[in-house]
Parts: sequence; C-alpha cells; structure tokens
Amino acid sequence: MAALTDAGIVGADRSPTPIGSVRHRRGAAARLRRNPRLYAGALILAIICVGAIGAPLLTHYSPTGQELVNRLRPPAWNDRGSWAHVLGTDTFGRDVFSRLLFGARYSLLVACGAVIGSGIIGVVLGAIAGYAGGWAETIIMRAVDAQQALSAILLALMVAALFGNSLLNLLLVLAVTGWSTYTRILFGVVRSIRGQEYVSAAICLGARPTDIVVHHVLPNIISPVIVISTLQVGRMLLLEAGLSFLGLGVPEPLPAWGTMLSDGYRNIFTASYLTTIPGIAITITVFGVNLLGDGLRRALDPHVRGTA
Amino acid sequence: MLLSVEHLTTEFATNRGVAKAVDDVSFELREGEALGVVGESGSGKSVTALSIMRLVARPAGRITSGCVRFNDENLLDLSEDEMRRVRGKQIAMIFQDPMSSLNPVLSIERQMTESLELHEGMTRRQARRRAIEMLELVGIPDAPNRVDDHPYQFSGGMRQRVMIAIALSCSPRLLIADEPTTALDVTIQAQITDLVQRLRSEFTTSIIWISHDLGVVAGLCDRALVMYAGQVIEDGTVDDIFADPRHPYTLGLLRSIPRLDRPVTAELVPIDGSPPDLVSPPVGCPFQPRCAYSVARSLEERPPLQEVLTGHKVACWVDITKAAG
Repeated sequence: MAALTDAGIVGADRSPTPIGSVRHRRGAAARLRRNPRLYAGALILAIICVGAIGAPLLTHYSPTGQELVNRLRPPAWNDRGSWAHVLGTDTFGRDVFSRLLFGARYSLLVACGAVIGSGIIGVVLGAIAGYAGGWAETIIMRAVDAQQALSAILLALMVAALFGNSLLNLLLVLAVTGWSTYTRILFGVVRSIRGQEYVSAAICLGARPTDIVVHHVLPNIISPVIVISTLQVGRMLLLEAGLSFLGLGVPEPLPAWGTMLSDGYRNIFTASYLTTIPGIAITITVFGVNLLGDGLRRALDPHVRGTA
Repeated sequence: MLLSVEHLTTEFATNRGVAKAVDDVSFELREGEALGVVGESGSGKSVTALSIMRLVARPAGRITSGCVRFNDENLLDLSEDEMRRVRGKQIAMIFQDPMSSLNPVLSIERQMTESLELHEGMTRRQARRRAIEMLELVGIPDAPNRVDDHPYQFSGGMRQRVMIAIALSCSPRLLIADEPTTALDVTIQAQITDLVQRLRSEFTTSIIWISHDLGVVAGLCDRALVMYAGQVIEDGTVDDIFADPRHPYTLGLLRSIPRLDRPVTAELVPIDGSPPDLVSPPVGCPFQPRCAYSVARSLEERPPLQEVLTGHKVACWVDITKAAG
C-alpha cells in the first residue's frame, strides 16, 4: 500500500499539478526521505568538490612546495605530529592535506573526463550497433572484442612510449579503455528495446527512426548508463592509481590521489598514513559516486520509482 | 472504395525454404465499413495487416506481388517517407498485447503527443489538450491527471483504451486492430468492443478487426473474411457467413464453437488434422487434407474465390449446400 501511495505522490511531483488536484507537492524533506541515497551521495561529492575547488583557501601550503626539514611528519593526532601539518608530510616534506585537496582536482578531472569521454563514444557505438545491426554491428562488436582483449596497462605503456606522459594522454588512454564496457552492455539493451512491441507501435504511428531513438531508446538506456558510469568512475580512479604506480599516471610533481598512493607505497611500513589517506579519499569518492548513481537511477527509472 | 487489396502475396524466407504467409489475397473495404478477418493462428491474418502497413519484418519477409490501393494510391509504390505520413495519420494500428505496446519509461502524455506533434503539427500544449480529450473519450476517468501517469499505473484494459486513444487521436480513416482483445479477460473484452463500436460511429473510421474470436467479429463487423493457409477462402457479410457458410472450413469453425442458440447437449465438432505446411502447401485446395467434402479436383487444382451469391465469395469446388459431407 505504501508503495502505491508513494507512486501516486511521485507521479504528482513531476507534473504541473492542476488546480483542485487531490495530489500535492511535498517538501524537500519528504523527497529526501524517499531517496536518501541521492542526497547522501550528492553531499559527499559536494564536499569533495568544495575541497578541490577551494583548496587554496583551505590550506596555505603549496601541494608541490618541499620542506625538507619536515620530512615524513605523521598526522596531527600522532605523538610526533603537529597541527602545522594536519595530515603530516611526505618524503619530500610536502603537506599531505594540501596534496590531497589539490590532488582531488586532478583525480576527479581525470576520472570524470575519462568516464564522460568513454561514455559518449561507448553509448553512441552501442546504440548504432544495437539499432542498425548488420555490418555496423559486426564491425563495432568485433572492435569491442579486440578492445577487451587488450590490457589497459599495456595500452597506456604504448601511448606513454609513443607520445610521452601527460595529463591529456592519460585521459585519452582511460577513455579508450573504457568505451567497450558501455558498448557491450548498450548493444544488448538497445537490441532488446528494438524488438519491443512499443517500438513497432511507434513505427505504426509513423515515427521516424530518429524519433524512435530519441523517444524510446534513450529514455530506456539512462539507467544502465548511470549504473555503468558510477562503476566506471571508481574503476578510472583505481586505474589512474595503477598507472601512476607504474609511473604512467599524472606526471610528477602534480598531486593526484593515485600518484600519492604509489609514492607512499615505498614507506608503507614506516609511514602508513601516506597510503591510507589517499586510499580513504578514493574509497569515499567511489562510495559517494555509487550512492549518487543509485539514487539517480531510482529517481529516473519509473520501474523502481514507486518503490524507491 | 477506401481500401482494395489485390493479389497480395507476402513471403518469408525460412531455413526450410520460402513460406507464402499471404498467398494471393484480394479483398475490398468501403468507407466506414468494419471488416472482420478470422482464421486460426498462422493463417496469415496478421501478416496481411502488416503488409498493408508495409511493416513486414525485413529481410526475412517480403511482399512479392500484388497491390494495396488505399484512396486510389498504391501503398506499395510509396517511398518510405511518404509511407510514414500514411502510418498513424491515415491508417492506424493497435496490437494484441497492451502490456507491451506502451513504453514503460514514458508517461502516457509523451506517448500520445508523439504522433500528434508529428502528423498534426501541434504544439506540446495543444497536443496535451487533445490527448486528455482522447483519454476522456475512451473512458479513462480523471484524464487530466492520468495523462501524466506511466503505463505501470494502468490495468490491461485501461492500457488497451489508451492504445485506442493513441490510434484514433489523428482521426485515421482506417484502423487495423490485430487481435486487440485476445490478451484481455472476457468482461474487459466486451467493454473494449463496445467502446470501438461507439467510437466507430463518432469517427466514421473504417475498421479491419483481426480476431480468432468469431463471436466478437459477429457482434462488431459488417463483413468478414475467413482466411486459411494464407488465402482468403470465404468473403461475405457477417450474416451470410454465420447463417449460410459456404466453405467447409467456415462450416467446421462454426460447428466447433459452443453457441447459445443450440441445445447444451449438442456436440461440438472439431476439425480434424492441422493446417498445411506453408513451405510446401498442397497443390490443390489447401484445406483438402482435412475436408470431408473433398472431390478429385480439390487434389489437383486450387479453387478460385468465386461469387456464389451477391457479395458472398467462396473458394471451393463443391457447393456444400447440395453435397453430402
């Protein structure tokens, strides 16, 4: 019963409510109660973004400024730590808190850029393969197979060897390794939508192929795209860390979380905070993205809207 | 004549060879007339409808010959673009399963306004008003609110009403209904047929009603076609066909259903055997292997559709009113 009333209220929320309607809008509190994931995820990501954007205001240390007398200072809560460097310093005496804040800029930029880039390529190709079929399908899906057979690390090594190690190249490598995931899944989704009776019904009403793609295919693929994207953001953050570990990630001395993680690895037994702190930052970000994605999916997908 | 189908043949390529799903079908439909098309599954009813709409699934299916004259224009000659303007505007179609004919992620409004914007050039606001009008017309209560709901919030019967509203929203001259009540329970079926009956007079739309339910066709239609193995075997007014069937198959169909005007004890007579394989159909009459009236000629030659009484055509070599079965 609760689900039924909920469905009615959500339905009313989206529509321009006519005068005299028994349905009425509810406040933000009621919406939040129905979809706490969305808001929790958005809050976590908002905090991280504020930290990244407002980094110069939140710390007076430069992320690359070295203070060699203060090398490997532990965080403030440690006996030997001081409040001057809240999260301690690394092997070059650089302030970890400052690097964490500035690093968020690069890590988020790389991860989001790669997800958006690979998403656009992957969705377009997947939709073409699924909708058009025939030779387009053959070419695209065999390319997916080829892509999936290549390791991202090897591809990155090759790009780094050919073009050098830069932020743009890193973005390109990550985008190129990510698109096939979208294409493979969307191919199946679009193919199944195409066979649906409501597509035949739309054709019977005189809809053009573009109308069908825009009105029927796109709304149906939003939720898989969101789900894949949230998973991909986490994957990209970790891949960036992995590539940085091999010296192929965000080039030094730019602070990115993956770079920090791999730098700290050398001192993992004496200064474990150097790896745990960026690690925790990555974990929280991935968690936030997943919450947001789940919340968005529930908010956008009418199949689950009633029960969200 | 609103629609005249002449010698229409549609073939499907299968693994075993070419199947003639529609085999030399000819019939006519007058303005405002309701035509019932009956026959068992696989008799070519739906493929005939899809052929008229030019929606036979390619590349397996192909219209190989014939012509579909609608408004003195052969639909088979039109370009895909011109055909798109006919679909939905001139000829609309509703399907068997209302559960899957509506897109689950779009609101009813979005699905209703699509064709209005496309064919009538309406703005979003005009189309919305028209959509609400149409929903009220097909008996959806609280239409101004319901138009924003999604399909999962409607029952099967309500969805079929929505489908009918969508189909009629551009005032098409011909509505093709492909077993629109088969997936619904009997009371809802009756409501939907009543609704169509009422709308028919309001919209002066011609109807092709495909069904295997003879009762529904008898109640709703003026004329009926009986199809068997991709061919029209009997064509006449509903009264003629039900009171005076001239094809052994039609006779068999009528004997195999229970009727209120016969004693309860009267036995139902099934038609023995099964329909022929469409890849390698019999040379003569396709019904011959199952027919009690079969004569030597039935084995060798396919009977043409001939007028036996005014407006009543049958494809049979035997006059079953005189022969003993």
